[in-house]
Amino acid sequence: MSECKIMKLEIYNAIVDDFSMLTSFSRRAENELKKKYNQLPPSTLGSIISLLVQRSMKQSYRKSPVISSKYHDLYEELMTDKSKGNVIMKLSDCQGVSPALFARSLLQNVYSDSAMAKKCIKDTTLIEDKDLAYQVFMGIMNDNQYGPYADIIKQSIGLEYELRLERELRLMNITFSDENILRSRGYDKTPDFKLDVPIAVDGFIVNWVESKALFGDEENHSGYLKEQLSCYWNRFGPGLVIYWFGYLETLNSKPEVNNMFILRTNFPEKASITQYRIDL
Amino acid sequence: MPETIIESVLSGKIDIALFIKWLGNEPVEDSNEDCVLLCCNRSEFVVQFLSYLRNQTDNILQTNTNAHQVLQYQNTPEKIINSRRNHHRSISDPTSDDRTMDNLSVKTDRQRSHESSPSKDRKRAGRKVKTKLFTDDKKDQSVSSDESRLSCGLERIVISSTPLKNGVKDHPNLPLASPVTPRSFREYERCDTPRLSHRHSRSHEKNCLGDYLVTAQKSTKKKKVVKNISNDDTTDSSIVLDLSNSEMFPEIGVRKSSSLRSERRRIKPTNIDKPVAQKSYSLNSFTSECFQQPSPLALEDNVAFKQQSLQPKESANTFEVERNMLKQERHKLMEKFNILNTSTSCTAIVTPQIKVSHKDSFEKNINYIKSDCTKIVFKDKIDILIEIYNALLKNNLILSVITEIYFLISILLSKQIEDDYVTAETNLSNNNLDFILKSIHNCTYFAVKSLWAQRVVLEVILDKNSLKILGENKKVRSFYPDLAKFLLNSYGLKCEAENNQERKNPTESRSSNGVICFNLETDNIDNFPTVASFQNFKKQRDMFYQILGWYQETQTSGGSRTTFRARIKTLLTCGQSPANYAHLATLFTAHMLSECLPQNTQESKMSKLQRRLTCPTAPESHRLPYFSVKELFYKEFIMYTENESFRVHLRDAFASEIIILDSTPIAIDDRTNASGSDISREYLQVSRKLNLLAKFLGFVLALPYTQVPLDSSKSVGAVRPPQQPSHAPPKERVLENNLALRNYSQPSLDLKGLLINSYKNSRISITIPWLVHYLSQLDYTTLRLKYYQELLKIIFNIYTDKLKLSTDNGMKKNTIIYLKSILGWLFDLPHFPMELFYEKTIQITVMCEVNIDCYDVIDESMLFELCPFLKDVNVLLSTCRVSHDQKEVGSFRHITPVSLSFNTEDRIRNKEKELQSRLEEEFLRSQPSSWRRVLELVVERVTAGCVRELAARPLAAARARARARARAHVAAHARADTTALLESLQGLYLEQLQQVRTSALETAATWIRTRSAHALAALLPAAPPALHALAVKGCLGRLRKWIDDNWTTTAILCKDIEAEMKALVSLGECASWAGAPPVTPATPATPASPATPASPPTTDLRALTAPAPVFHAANVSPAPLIIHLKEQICLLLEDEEPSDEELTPLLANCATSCSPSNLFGRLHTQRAILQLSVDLCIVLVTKRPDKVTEAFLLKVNAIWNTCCPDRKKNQSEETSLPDRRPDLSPDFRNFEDDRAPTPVSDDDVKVTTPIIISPGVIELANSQKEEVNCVEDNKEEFLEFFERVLCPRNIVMLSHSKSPGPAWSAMATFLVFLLHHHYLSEDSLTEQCLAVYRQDWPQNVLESLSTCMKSVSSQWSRSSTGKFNLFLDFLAEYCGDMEYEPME
Repeated sequence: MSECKIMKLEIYNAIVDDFSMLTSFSRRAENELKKKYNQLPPSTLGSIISLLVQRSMKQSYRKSPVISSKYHDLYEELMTDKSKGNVIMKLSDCQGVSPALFARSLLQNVYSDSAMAKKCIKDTTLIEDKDLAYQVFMGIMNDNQYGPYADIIKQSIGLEYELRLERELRLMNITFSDENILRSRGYDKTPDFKLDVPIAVDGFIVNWVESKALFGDEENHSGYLKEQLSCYWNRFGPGLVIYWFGYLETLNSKPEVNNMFILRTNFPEKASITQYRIDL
Repeated sequence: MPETIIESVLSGKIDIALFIKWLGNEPVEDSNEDCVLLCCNRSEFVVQFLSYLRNQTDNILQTNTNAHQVLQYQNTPEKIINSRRNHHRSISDPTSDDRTMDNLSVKTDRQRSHESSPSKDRKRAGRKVKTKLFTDDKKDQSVSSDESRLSCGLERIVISSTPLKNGVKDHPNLPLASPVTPRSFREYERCDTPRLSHRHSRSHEKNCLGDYLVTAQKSTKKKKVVKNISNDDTTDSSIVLDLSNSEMFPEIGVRKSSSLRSERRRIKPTNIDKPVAQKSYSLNSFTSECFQQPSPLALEDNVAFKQQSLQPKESANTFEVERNMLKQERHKLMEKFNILNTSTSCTAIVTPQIKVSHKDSFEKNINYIKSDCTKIVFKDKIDILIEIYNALLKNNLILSVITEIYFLISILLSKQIEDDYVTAETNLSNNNLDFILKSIHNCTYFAVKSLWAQRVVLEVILDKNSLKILGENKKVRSFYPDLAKFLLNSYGLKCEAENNQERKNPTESRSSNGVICFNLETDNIDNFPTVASFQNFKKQRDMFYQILGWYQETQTSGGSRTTFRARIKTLLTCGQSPANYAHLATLFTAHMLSECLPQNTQESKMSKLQRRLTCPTAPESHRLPYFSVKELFYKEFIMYTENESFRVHLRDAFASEIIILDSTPIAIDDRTNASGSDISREYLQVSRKLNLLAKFLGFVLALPYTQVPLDSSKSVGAVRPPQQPSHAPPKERVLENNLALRNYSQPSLDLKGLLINSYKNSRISITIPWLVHYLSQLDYTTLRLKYYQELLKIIFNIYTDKLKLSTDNGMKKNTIIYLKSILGWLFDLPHFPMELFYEKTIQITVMCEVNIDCYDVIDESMLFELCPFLKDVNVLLSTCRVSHDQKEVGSFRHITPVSLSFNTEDRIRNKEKELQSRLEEEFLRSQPSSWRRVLELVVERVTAGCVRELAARPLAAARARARARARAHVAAHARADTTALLESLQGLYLEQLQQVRTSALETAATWIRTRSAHALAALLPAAPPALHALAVKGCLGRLRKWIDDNWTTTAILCKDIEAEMKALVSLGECASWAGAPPVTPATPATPASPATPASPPTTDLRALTAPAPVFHAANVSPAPLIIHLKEQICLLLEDEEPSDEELTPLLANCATSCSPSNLFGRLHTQRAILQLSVDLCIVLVTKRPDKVTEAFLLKVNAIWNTCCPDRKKNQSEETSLPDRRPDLSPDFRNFEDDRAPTPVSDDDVKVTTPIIISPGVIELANSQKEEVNCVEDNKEEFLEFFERVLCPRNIVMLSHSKSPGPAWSAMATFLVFLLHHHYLSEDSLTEQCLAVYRQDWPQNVLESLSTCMKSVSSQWSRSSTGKFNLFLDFLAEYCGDMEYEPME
């Protein structure tokens, strides 16, 4: 299982290529990709797509009132047309923006109060304008990467895997301090789990464990490395990073990997863990 | 005066025994000769003697091709001394009072030397090049009787080697090399120009005793006399000089000579035509110059020479130019012979190089004489010399013993050129004692026998291979077989010791992982004045590591380091508060300490192999202070930190760390359980750290005085940063000014106090080494400041008084040799003010305690590690063998094979063991340092306690037991033969010993557990169990060691078994039974359960650690459910058929996942699922009304019910209206009146919540920490989804339905279901209806809605209060066809 999660570069590149061919960021386009790569774990592919979408959104989506009002004009224009259909879907596709982001942009133009706009995005039944409500609803339902549900999913997954990790640690009787404890003690950087007593995983010393409930590719890995992992290393020594949804095989050849920390896609097997023996 | 002494002694005028006494500073009886001795300075004599030796052996050493690379630095200490002394005198230094020989006023003296120096420089350098061409000492000899030459010698002594000093100035990197280099080449070019001999004498080398004699006479005279003589001399020499013209010796390198000449000529004009100076100073240089000049020029030169000193200023500029040229020239030569220190920047010199590599061709033509022990002559005279030499060394009158040994070994390894030999032989046969050591045989004899006298040192400073090589040396064997035997014997001993040692301690501490762990005590937010500063330091820490990583990367990849300075600047500007600098300095220091200390042997097997394969075998010399590759980063970091404030913090950090380490108790009597190897290891650790820190402290302190501003545009990286010119003496004037300016400054550490203290406490073996490293980094001027002069005098005093091998001063031999070598190294440094050595005034007399100095802590490996320069001697030996056979200098190293166990089981076990110890280390490292100290203390104390306890109880008990058994045994075998009885008794005691050893360990283990647990619980209540384990382990380890060390023989049970036996036998059976041993069984105290800081286990934890099946059943990941649910809705929206097979388990899972017991669940996931499930129903109603069955609704209900368990039941039925709105309608009657305002308030968003949530909800809510506070709101919010079922969006959706009829009726069913299960209240529904009706809708929608409402009303009527139905019906009727108008 864990081996297949370490993704070959070719497969990854193929996914990236296929992704760049997509004309839409809606869930339907994603489903096509998923169908094509159905041999991959859905969470892995989902995570990859999510990263790719986020990256392209970084480029094509700008938060600005000007753009919002422009979107709104386009929307109004289309809505006058009787054969409405999924107006937001169409507009977002032709704007190269994900539907939920488009909807958000629209709402931001409609509601001057951004708190209200946020509320409405969260619950479309609150939108007074019945057509807008329906359109926004459709937009959000068809977007797997943005919108309230996507946010909740991401957050939930992160927490879930932290909990899974905690469970494993507790099952192994490995004592640790979590982020909250560390922060309360005045640490400046806090990994998910700082082990009170280090363990060895396949002979590699591990002082801390960081859970990443996503797929590790070069870009986000180097980001994490700079922001978190190397900081943990220079405070606590070597550690363990778990990319639950797999990672790109090229990461294994990075200088920091197997040096500052090791990468895994699961919590290591019991057999590969050596604990410091306290035999009194 | 000293010059006469050698002669006198050799000729027997002075009694050698008396003389040795004099050397030993013992009182000498009055006799005729004494007057010579009494009026002579011992130090002077040392200097003369050494230079005498050097001159004698000059021509022999030349043949040693290996020697020169190192010798250049050390060969001529006496000259340095002279030069230094002279120089010193010239400085107006108030502290130097004993200028015994200097009659000149300070001022003039200085001026003269200053003025004349340039010309000397020039000449000097020129001469050097020249000397290459002329090799002869022999000629010197021939002329040695010459008056003029003698006078030269004299002059040299008096005025001494200013030129040398200048030479030093010229070539900062190789200051001492100058006098030597030429010599090493002489042999090749020595040619047959006997006339040249003058040169030698003039060039300040006293070749014969005659020189000294004459000098002695002259020295008493005034300078004028000297000058006159020298003038005479110059004329002499000038005549001779023509011959020295390089053109005459084409073989040597015509090209070279001409080029040199041209340079020389450039120099000359500046000197010529100046009025003659009266100073005799330049004489030396003059003479040397003469040699290099073609004769006519030389003559002019002589004249010029005198004038020159009068007009120094004018020539200064040209001198500068010339000096530079010469500098470059010399540099080239040095480079040629690979003698440049690695750290020098060779790139600066661009001038074309001179080829000097003619030696091969020469070698072929030259016959060498090898030494032969049968041909020694004047053995008794040589013995006298040896005795004197030995006495000097013994009394520490010579600065560096290592240098002397190097010198002796070099002689030993040399051969003699036949011509030289013949000259020497003929002279010797004429009883010319001046040639006493000029023959290879005599010389070798001298060397070997002197080595024998130094065998104690040899044995220590040579590694085993060198011992073997030297022991097997044919010359050693034939000249002094005892030495060979001795060496081979100590070789054997070393091998043995090595084997033992390897077995004993295979591993030392492991290398660090390159990280300084975040230390809770010193690094957390409380240690910073402000939060901002804390946050900044967070960044700085990361940046520091980034820079380090980047630096290492460029090191391996060879990338450019141009950005180094910029990076450091960014780092420092990132947080500029003093607190940040202080923390950064601490981090820097800690990191440097952990990174730069040498790695242990164990883990380096791989790197060892790699090094052997990849690194060139060329031996590197450690003559000068250097920075290892790892240290370079820190050095450069400091250099490029153009932030004085940070440097000051850094200095503080270094200094405080030094103080702490310097006072580390290493050998306290109290530490009963520390064994020798422990102390050794600890000592090594501490000493290494101190040396490193001191080196950097010295560097930082000297930096402001040495650093040349770097050209910021120039790249800093790639090329190593330029060596500081700290080794070069500055201009006299500059030096004087600097001294005047800084003479009262003091270092940041009280070095003098520390040194004296450590001397008093017998801790100089800790303090002196780091002090040496510190001093070695200082610059030329600093070392001459008043404070440092005093410090150095103390050091000299210690050196001469304390560090004598002969006297019993409580110090161990190895320690003394170690200190002597390291001090010798310091004294030999080019910028070291050696002249001070002869002015010692301070006398420290203290009684010394027994401390670290008295312990045998230094072993061979440590010695080599701490004094890398010792390797030079060994390298000399190991390389010579090859190069003698093959004509090239190839080096030869003994390689100990790296071994690896092939037993897999062993390896696995070892690996496991290693892993465990790594874990342990890692764990320790991550603990706060105070914890570590506490742990150390606990281990120490608990073990000590246990030792006492063991001795007091189990041992006493065991003694009694053993005695009782012995008594019984004796009683039983009373008639037996005494020897047999003794044997059996011994056996018995041995058995008892074994018993007590094992049992003691067991009992002690229990004590240890309890005690350490108590101790740790008291001292570190928060200590994790692993720390307890570590403490116990540490104690047990020490105890085991202690038992192994101490309980080794039966003596602990019975001192004398035989006596005991006799006593028992004689006592016989009437022996009283000794009281039963007070065996107090150790209380089987259970080890105190380690105080776990963990919070009490909660249900949460229990659930978290539940067995897998239970865990997975109860805990469902919500994220995929949300994705699926959403996907189903989307499919429906796209008019696709959702299958029941998918929908049913999905809904069931959703229900589970919403359960509060689901650890993965969160409020917002519940919310999302709830919201989506409601939407699913609406969409299903719209798209597939037929699917909205009771069964389906019940499935959804399962989700809703878990999400919203607390719904207000049946408000309408219960007539619980008073509860709800007691304030509004006390009589509960006017319901409609009450409700009326609600629809009017057209804010349909703010629907008042009809349900009051009981406080219990809060408790039931998910226990997850961060959400607790918002539980109430969110939970309340959940029901809102139902309160907006009839929102505009949904109605639009319904209106899009393809089958409106069934859809609306399904909607009615859905609404009734909601009402029925209390998700929806009647009020809420009415409000929603009103809200809908307030918007514009197409007629068909209104109609459908009305139908729907009616349907709801009819289905609900049974369980409802009538009012609700009536109202719904009314609405439906009223609004069904209103067509826009009712609103407004």
